[in-house]
Amino acid sequence: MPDFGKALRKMERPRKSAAAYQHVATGFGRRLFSLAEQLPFLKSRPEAVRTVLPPGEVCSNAFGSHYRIHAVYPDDYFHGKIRLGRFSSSDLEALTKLMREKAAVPHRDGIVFIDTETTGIQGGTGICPFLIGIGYFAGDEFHMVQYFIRDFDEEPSMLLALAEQLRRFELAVTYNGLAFDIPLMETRFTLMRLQNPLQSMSHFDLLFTARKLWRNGHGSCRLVALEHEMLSFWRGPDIPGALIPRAYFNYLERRPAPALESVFTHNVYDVISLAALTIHACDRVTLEPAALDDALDLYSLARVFENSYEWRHSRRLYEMALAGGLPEPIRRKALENLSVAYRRAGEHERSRDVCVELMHHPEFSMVGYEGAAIYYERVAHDFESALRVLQEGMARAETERWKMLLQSRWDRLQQKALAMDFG
Amino acid sequence: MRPKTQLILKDSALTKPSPVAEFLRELENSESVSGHHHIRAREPRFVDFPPDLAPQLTHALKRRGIEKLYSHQAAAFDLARSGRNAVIVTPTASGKTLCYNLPVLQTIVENADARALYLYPTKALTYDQLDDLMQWANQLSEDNPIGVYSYDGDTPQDARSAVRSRGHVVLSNPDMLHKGILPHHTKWARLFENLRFVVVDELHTYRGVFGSHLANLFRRLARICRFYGSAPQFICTSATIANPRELAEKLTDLPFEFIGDSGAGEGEKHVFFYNPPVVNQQLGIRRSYVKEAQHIAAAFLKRNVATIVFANSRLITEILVNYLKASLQQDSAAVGPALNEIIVGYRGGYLPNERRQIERGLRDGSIRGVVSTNALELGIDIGSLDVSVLAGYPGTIASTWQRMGRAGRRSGMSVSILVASSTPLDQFIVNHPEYFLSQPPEMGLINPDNIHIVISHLQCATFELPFGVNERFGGHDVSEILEYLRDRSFIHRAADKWHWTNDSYPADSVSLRSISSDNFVVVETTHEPRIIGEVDYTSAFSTLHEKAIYLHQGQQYFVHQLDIPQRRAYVKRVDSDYFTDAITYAKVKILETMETTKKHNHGEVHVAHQVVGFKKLKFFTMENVGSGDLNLPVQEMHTTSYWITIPRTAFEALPYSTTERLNGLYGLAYALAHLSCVFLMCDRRDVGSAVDAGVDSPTFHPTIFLYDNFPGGIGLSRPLYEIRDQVLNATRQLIQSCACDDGCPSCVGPTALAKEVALKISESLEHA
Repeated sequence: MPDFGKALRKMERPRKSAAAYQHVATGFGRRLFSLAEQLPFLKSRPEAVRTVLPPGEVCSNAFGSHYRIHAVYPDDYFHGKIRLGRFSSSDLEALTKLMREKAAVPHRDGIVFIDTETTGIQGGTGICPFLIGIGYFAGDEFHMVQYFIRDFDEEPSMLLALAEQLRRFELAVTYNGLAFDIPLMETRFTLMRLQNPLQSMSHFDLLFTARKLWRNGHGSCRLVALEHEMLSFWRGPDIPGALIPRAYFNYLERRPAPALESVFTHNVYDVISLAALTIHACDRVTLEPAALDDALDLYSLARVFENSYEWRHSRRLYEMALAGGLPEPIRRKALENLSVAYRRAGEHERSRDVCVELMHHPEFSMVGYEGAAIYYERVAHDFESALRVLQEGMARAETERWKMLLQSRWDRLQQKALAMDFG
Repeated sequence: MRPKTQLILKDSALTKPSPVAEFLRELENSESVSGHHHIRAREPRFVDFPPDLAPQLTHALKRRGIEKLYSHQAAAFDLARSGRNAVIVTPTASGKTLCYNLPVLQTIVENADARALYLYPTKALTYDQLDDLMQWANQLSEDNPIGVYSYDGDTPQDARSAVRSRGHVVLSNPDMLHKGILPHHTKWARLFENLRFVVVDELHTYRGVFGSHLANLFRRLARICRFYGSAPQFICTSATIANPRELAEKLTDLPFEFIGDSGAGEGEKHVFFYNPPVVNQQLGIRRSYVKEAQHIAAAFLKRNVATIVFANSRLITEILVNYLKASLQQDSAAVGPALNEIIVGYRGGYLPNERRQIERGLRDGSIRGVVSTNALELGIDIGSLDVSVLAGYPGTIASTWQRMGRAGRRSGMSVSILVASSTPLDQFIVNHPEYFLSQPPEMGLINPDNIHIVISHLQCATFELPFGVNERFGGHDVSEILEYLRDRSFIHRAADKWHWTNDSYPADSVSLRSISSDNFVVVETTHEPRIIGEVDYTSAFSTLHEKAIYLHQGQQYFVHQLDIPQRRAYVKRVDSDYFTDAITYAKVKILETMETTKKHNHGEVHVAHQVVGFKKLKFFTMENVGSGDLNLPVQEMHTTSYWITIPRTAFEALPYSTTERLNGLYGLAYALAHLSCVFLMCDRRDVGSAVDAGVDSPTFHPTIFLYDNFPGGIGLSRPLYEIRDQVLNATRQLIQSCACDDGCPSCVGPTALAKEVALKISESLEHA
C-alpha cells in the first residue's frame, strides 16, 4: 500500500507545486475584490466580524434540518415604480404571449419566482445551491421564502422541504434559469434521489423575453441593469456575483464572513425584481402602444406579437416604429418583417412598396428582392418584371448562398415563362 | 550461405522499375539485410455460433456473410455471457470488435434498458467504429431501435441530450469521460443506472502516464456506478503486450480472464531487418537510416505499391516527406503528376480535418504513400497498404508489430522493413533479430498511485460526489491527501463527507495525457496570424525555442518568439537548408534511498531539466552548421530512479586520464539508458538518464542515474533495479560486439577511448 502521507510531504519539497496550490487557495478574494467594490460594502457594515444569519428558523424533517427565512410583503409594497400587488388576470394573458412554449399560464398564485445562490457557476455535480429563494403571491400578499444550508449536510433536508413547497405551483419563473438554475436543481434532486418537482411544471425564462423586448440583442441584460432602467430601483451596496461562492466558503470555514448577509439581500432583490420585471414585461404587451414613446420598444413589441402569430398587431407596431424613426440596421430589419407581415395579411401592394424601398436600400436585402419577385410572379403575373428583379438581386447578392437562392428562383421562373409562351 | 550483394539503391532497377518480386529478391540478397523472417499464411479456425446467440444476431451475422465465428470470438462471447471480465489479445484485423459487439448487442436485444460505454483512446478511432456499429443497430432494431452514438467534444450541444437518454451504446474517449461525463453524471443517470458493459479498446495504449490516469479515472467511474447501483463488466482488447491481464486488472481493480489464441487467419508476410551499411569504419558511421528508409519507400512507391513509412518523431516525419517528394519528383512519370497529394505526412500537430482528409485519401487509394508518426499506429481504418517501412526502431516491440501490421491488414502478401538507426537500441535489435522475434512484447507498466495523479483525481472525485471520511480510493486510505486538500481550501468536511468548496472545475486542470496539462499553440505570423498546430509543454522547449526551425507539413517555420506565460510560439515561414536540434541538460539530486546494495540503488530523486542550446543541422548531409545558446526555464520534477554508484577509489584507480574516465562514464550511461528500454520494454523517452561525476566534491562517488521521466514516477525504476544484472550484461555485450574501433553512436557514443573505459567501469561493478 502506498504511503500517500509521506509522498505528500516529499512532493512539497520541490516547493513549486505546493506554492501553486496556495496561490489558488488564498489569492482569490483579493484579486477579484476591487477597492471600488469593497468600499461601499465595508462602510455599510462597520462592525460585521461575526457572521450573523438574518432572523429565521431552523426547520426539521425526515432528512435533517435546514434554515428558513420567511418574509411577507403587503399589497401596497412598491419595488421601484412597480406595485407588486397589481399583478392581474390580464397580465396572465400577456404572459402567455411572452412565453416560448405555449403552455397555459395558471392563476396568479400558481406562479413561483425562483433564484439560487451557488458555490460556483461552471456547472457539474460539484456545484451546490446553498441559498434558494422563492417568491409567490398568496391572497393580497407577496411571500418571500429563503432556504439556506448552514453546512452541506443540510442540503437533503432543504431539498425535501423545497420539493414539498414547490408541489403546489404550476409555473416557475426564473432569470436565465433554462441554462442555469433549472438544470442545477435537477442535478441536486437526482443526487438526493428525489423526484424533481420542476419536471412537472412549465417554465418561463425572463432573460429571453428581456433580450427580445428591451434589448434587441444589444446592451446589458443583467438583472441589475434592467432594475435601474425599467423599475427605477436601486439596490445600494450589493455583493458582486463572483464573490458569492467565496463568501459562503468563508462562512463554512468559520472565518469572518461579513459578505454573507449581503448574499441574502442580493437573493431577495433578485427574486422580487424578477416578479416586478415580469409585471413590467406584461405591461408592455397589454398597454396601448401609444404609451410607448421609444421606436425601438415598439419594434421589440412587434416582434413579440409576430412570434405569437398576431400579424395585424405586429404590422401596426412595425408601422409605428418605422414612423418613429429606427436606426440602421434595425430599420431595414423592420422593413423586411413588415413586408412579410403585409403579404401574410393579403395587402400585396403595400408589401410590394416596402420591397421596392428595400431594393433601393444601400445594404443588400434578400427579403426585398425575394418579396418583390414573389409579388410580380404571383400577384401581378408579370414574369418579365420578376425576372428583372431577380437579375438585379443576383448582381448585388453578397454571398454565394443568396446568389444561389435567387438563381434557382430565376431558373424556375424562366422555365415557367417559357412553358407559358409555348402554351 | 548464398553470396550477398550490396543493395544498390540507385541502380537502373529503380529508375526503370522492375516488378515488386524482383525488388524483394534484391532486398533479400542485400548485405545490409541482417535478418529476413517469413510468416506463413495461417488457416483460420472456425466454430459454430453459440447456442444461446439471439436469433436476430444470428440473422444479422448471416446477412453479412458470416456463417461461423472465429474461435476467439466465441470464447469472448461465452466469457462475457458468464459475467466475467475479459481481455482479448489477437492480431490486427482478427475481428476483435465482434468479441465485444456480440455480447453487448445480445444483452441490449434481451433487455432494452441495458447500456454500454465504449472507450477508444482517440476520436479518430471512435468514428471508425461508429459507422460499423450503427449498421449493426439498424439491422437489429426493427421493433425497438438501438441507439448508437458517439459523445465527444465534437458532439453538437443540441444533440447531447439525445445521446444521454437514447444511447444504448455510447462511444467516447477517456478525456471526455473525465471532463464531460463523470462531472455531469446526473445527466447520465439512465446510463449509469443500467450500465452493463464498459469496453476498452486498444488497452495497450494505456501505459505510463496515460494508463496511470486511466486507472484513477476508473476509480472515479466505479464510485459513480456504485452510487447508481450498477457494476459493469469490462471487455478489453489490446495489441500484443506481455501483461495484458495484469494491466487490465491494475487499470480496473477487477479480476480478468485472458483470451490470446487467435482463430483468425493471417496473410503471408515478409519481415526484413535492414542495417544501413557502414561508411566510416573508424568512427562507426553508417549511412543515414532516414535516407535508406526513403530509398526503400521510394522504390516501392515508384512501382505504385501503397506504402506507409513510420518515423519516430515529428521532425523525421517532415524530413521524410521532403526527401520522398524530392526523390519522386526526379522521376514523376512513375507515379503520375499530383505528387503533393500522393505523399503526405500525418502526425499529431495537424488539425483534425486535415487528418480526416488524409485518412479518406488512404482508404480510397488517392493517397498512395504516407509518412506518419505513431499517430497511425492504432487501428484507424486506412484500408490496406502493402508495405510498411519503419524508419528507426519504434522503441518497443509492441509498437513495431503494430506498425508492421499496418501493411496487409486483410490478406495477400505484405512486406515490412525495419531500417535501423545508429542508436544502441536500434543496433541491438537489428543485430539480434532473433531476440526481437523471440521476445514477448513489452509490459504495460503503470503507477496508479502516483501522488500527483491521485491528488488530481481525488479532487475530481470529490467534485463528482462528496467523499466519505472512511471511503477508500482504489482500495487505499487517502485521508492524508484529503486533509492536504482541506488545508488548501479545496474541500470542506460536513458531518461524515468531504465536499468540493472551490469555484473551479477540477477536471479542466487535469490532462490525462500528461502530468501537466499545458499546451503551446503555434501561431504563424507570415501574413494574417493563424494557428497552425499545438505542442505539449514538455516538448515545447525543445521544438519551439527561439530560433528553432519548426516543421509542419513539410514547410519550415522560424520561431521568432516563444511566449511562455501565454503558451504561444510565433513563427514565420522560411526556406532554410537546415533544421535545429535542441541540447538538453539534466541535474539529479537524491532525495531518498529506498533500497540499496551500495553500488545499486533505487529511490526518489529531484530532477532539474533544461534546454540549454541547439545545433543547426544541414538537411541531407546532417552536417553541423552552427549552434546557439538558450536561456529557458528549468523544468523540475520529483520522480523515482535507479542509480549506480561507482566507488570513487575504484573509479580513480582506472588507468586513464580524468577526461577519459569521464567520457567512459558518460558513454556507459548512454548505452545503459538505451538498453534499459529494451529490457523494461518501454519507450525510449520514458527513461531519463544523467551522470553526476562528483568531481567537485571529494566525498562524492560518481553516479549514473536512470530515472522515470515523469513527475512522481510511473513505475519503471523499481523493475529496473531488479533486472540490473541482465541490463548490465547486455550493455557489456553491446559494447564488446560493436564493430567500431573506439566508440560510436551505436554503443557508447563517439568519444575517444570511451568504449574501453566504459567496459572497464562496468566490469568494476561486477566484482564487489
